[in-house]
Amino acid sequence: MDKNRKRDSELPTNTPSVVSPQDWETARQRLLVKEKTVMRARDALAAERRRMPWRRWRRRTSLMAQRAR
Amino acid sequence: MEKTYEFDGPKGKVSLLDLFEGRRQLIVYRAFFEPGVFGWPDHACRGCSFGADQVSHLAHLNARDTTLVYASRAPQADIERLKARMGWEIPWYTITDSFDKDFGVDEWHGHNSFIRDGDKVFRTYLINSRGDEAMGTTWSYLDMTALGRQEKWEDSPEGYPQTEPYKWWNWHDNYDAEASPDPKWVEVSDAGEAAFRERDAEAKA
Repeated sequence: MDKNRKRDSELPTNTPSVVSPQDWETARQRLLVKEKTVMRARDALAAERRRMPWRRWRRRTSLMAQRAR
Repeated sequence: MEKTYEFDGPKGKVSLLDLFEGRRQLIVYRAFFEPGVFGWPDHACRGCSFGADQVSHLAHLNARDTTLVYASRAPQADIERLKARMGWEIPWYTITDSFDKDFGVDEWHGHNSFIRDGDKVFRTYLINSRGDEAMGTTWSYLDMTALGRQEKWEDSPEGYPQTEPYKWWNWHDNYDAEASPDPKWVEVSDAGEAAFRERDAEAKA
């Protein structure tokens, strides 16, 4: 027997209802509205990220080196 | 005198600037692979290894002038062995100085993004904690960079480099061969976009 094949585990008992294709599509369309809102919010967040200030970075020098300047 | 960060790479000492490999942008992921980390010396940290497994083909990111590298404290010999064992091809450097501390990744993993103007390097962003779990796709990397996906639909500051979406996409083994989009591909992707628009319009009608 294929060692990668596992025995079926038990499904939890409190799963959502099983519906007709039409009801499934209606439910999907309802969630899709929220998903699109989230996606657009993520685009807006990325746009804001592109406007984050930059910071010039150099290696932190030791206190001694800073005093010597 | 200004000092730069120094890393060990497969070909010896390199600077932070070298990590860009000549590209405009750089993302450095700090991965935990060093003595004291669970799995050493056979493996890197499990979370970081999980992350390395979901890194997409880098040709696409590179085509947007952006380099991704990993950096750890382990010596190059160990990194080389790890990459071979796990089948990872990400450029992977050894941190030799305060880079991890200075960029907030000395105790936990994180992605730092940089942009350069000639040889001047700027830090533009840091993603860490649960933010790291979404990283791996070309889009997640581009979205954390200063220039974004560099596509025309994006809301970016005036004058940022942007090209049409879809058109710059290529097969990962064909970017070098094809400097500008294949006209046939432009045609095909335009037709695909038009079909999507039509379907959306019908759905709304």
